[in-house]
Amino acid sequence: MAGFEVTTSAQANRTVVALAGECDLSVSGELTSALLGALGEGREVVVDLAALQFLDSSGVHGLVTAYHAAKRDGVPLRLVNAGGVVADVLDLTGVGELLAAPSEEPSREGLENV
Amino acid sequence: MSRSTGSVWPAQDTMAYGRADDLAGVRAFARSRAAALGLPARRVEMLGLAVSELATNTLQHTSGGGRVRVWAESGQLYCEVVDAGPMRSIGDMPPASAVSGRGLAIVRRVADDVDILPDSDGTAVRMRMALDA
Repeated sequence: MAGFEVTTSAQANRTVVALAGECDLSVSGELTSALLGALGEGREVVVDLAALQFLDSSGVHGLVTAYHAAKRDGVPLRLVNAGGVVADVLDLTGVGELLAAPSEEPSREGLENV
Repeated sequence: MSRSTGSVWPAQDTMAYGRADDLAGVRAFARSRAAALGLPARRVEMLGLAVSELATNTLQHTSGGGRVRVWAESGQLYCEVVDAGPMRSIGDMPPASAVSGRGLAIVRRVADDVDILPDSDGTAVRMRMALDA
């Protein structure tokens, strides 16, 4: 068993989806449903990857599906706290950058103006 | 003499899989064998990812399962996945916003080298990773 868990919690102005365990083909449908459900709330969705130990292309598929839904509906969606092999997969596929927080994107112009 | 992978693989080096619930076990098996054979810890995790991608590919594109074998030879770690699927090619990593098509591209990025070989049971995808890298 991959021991995957999704915990969705509503905060004042955003929905946090916390993932734990290992996300592969056996549970990627559950991930996609949870993300689309959270986006349906209409507030910013933050996906917390701190306790996620494994993510493969099936899970990346779920994240990218959510990315397109978020873009279509104009709902902000971002990933936080990726580490280890999860961060490596997001890096290899470019999806980490696609779903990075705006503040994590390089903004040279902004820094020079500080 | 031609090599028949089905009959000569030592049992302790080999694991069969057939369902999505087997994937965590396939990763654990490949990681544990690779670590025992001397693959550095960081690469052990990436091998787990690559083998999971290959086994997932079997489950998504063939009607049966497959088997994984991990062994070392001349300073190199080999991890081979055999399934009944056809010969396949490995494309480039798709754009970040593409919904699918990443599995085999990830394998190519993780391994030092990937060979796709005909096998008596279908097709073998063989990854190589240097043990001292």
